[in-house]
Amino acid sequence: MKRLKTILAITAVTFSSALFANSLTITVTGYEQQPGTTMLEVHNNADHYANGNPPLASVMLSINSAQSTAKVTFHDLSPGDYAVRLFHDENGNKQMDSNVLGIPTESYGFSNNAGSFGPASFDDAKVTVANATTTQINLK
Amino acid sequence: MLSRRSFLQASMASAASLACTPALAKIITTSHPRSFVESVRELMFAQSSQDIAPSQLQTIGNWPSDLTGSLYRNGATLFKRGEQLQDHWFDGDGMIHGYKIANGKVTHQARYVKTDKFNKEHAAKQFLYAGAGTKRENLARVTNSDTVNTANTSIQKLGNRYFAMWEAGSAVEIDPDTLQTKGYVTLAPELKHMPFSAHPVQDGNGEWWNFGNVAAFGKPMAIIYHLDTKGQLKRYQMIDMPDSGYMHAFAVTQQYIVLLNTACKYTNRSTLFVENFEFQADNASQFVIVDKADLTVKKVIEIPSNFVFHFGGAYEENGEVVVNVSEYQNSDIMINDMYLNSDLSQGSLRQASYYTQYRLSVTSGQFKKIQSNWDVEFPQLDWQQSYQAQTTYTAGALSRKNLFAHALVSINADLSKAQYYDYGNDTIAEEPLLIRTQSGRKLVSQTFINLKDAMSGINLFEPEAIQNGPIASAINKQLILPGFHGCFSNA
Repeated sequence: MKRLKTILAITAVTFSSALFANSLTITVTGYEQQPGTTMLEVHNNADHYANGNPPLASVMLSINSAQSTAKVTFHDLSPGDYAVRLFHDENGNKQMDSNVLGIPTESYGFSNNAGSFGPASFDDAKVTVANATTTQINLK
Repeated sequence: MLSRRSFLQASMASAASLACTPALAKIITTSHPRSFVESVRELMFAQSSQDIAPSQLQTIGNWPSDLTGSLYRNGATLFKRGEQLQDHWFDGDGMIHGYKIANGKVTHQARYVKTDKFNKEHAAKQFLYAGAGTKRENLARVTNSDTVNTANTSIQKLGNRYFAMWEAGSAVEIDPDTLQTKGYVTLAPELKHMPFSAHPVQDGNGEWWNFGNVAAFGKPMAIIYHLDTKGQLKRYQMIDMPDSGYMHAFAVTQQYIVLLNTACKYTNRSTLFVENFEFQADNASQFVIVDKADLTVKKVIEIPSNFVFHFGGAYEENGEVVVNVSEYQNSDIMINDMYLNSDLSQGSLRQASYYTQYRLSVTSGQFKKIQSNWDVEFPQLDWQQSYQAQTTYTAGALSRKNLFAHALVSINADLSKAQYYDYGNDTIAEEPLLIRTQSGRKLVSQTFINLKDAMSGINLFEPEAIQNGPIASAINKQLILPGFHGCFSNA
């Protein structure tokens, strides 16, 4: 997750120069007394998603120890497919830590709650945005 | 149903009241014949989720006044919450029993290991997760192996730290005085949640070795850990294994680490850990011999398919690596028999685990096998005499072939002679330990559970005269569940 914008405690993000009526609201659930920063990316390009290229948008959500959920809304999206992925950076090193087996040691998630067996593909994670679309991501 | 708390209160009130505890009477004096193991099973499902407060044990016989220290034991204990039952012996939450011994007196207390799993389930008043052998829909998020870590297999002192251990996840540090849980042990950031076996082995120089079996994570690999005398990480190494065999323990010799990749192979056919293992009788088991100096595999020696949980002593002699194991013909013990509703629990016989010696040539890859007729488990020895051929002390089965041993059996170094003390068919004999008094006198301690008389405790034996029976006992007038492994510390 590169080129993350520093937008703390953000609840709404407007980033498109063209104005559309579509929005995507993402609710992240499953925080268990895990203060830290959730790094969240929204992609609308499957190649960028697969190759780790910059996302369409990204946010950093500051999470306190009492929080169990977080919500963010992206406004003015063009209609189409979007994939969301995130990890929760508990130790502040801005990386998703993993152990020697490559198994994440920090929480993560994908839209559609995909990625039960390794990272989710764009197709598995994609959400079709039309009008006011909502999706929930449960932390893994 | 018997609860541990009510039972404890009853036991403290008077010994006579013990015999009147209704549930206990049901266990012991039922008018319907029931197998011994069925009675144990009923006891297993009667355990409370509460800790056990300190109580003083009654010492009898010639209890040594200069025996000072603490005996710790760990075992799967909590198998029932509400109406939910765990199906497999692997799935009980770990409980640490601590016996403090000083001035001829012995006190006992026990606490559950407060893993994340235990704490969440205790708060929810229900089991939330599937087990190693128990099917259940996960009602809470499973993020890593430690989410379902029961820390139920062993407790060992590494340096000045006490680790309660499972095998598929982290060790959990325990306060040796209070038995309270201090937290998960992460040896290095990149080793978080990694498998750490319940059987670390101390080297002759006081350092420690352990391994983790990565088979269940989809890779035929093992991780070797090298810890210093204080239990801090010195180095680790991932090594490739021939395939994904079950490995529970291992051995260390002067030059080598010896892993046994059993013919009980991991498949990916189930969501349950135990169900994923399949014994492949036509395939070989392999001793994988790793050089301690550079942690590379020196030799892989194939042997006919077998299954092993535990190792006895190991050493090098006349150019051979000598490894002692309690060997099963196959893995029925884990895959079938340890299910609490198995036929075995109804009284059928289990397969024997014969004490067996392998002599391995690292140069030629040849091996020799010497198998005794002693059906024993939990082999222990004098760990202060690493790498020496020596007597092994075990929990054995002489006549009753259910899951539980009923004898202390000592077997000499070449497996040619043995002594035993038979507790009889009403008693479970647990893992023995070779311990020392303050003056250096050696003793063998063995915890036991006597269902007929509704008591448990510690017996002490002269190491050279096992057959003479215990020289002293510390009697706990309450039943506790049979456990797995422990340690003794003179500190």
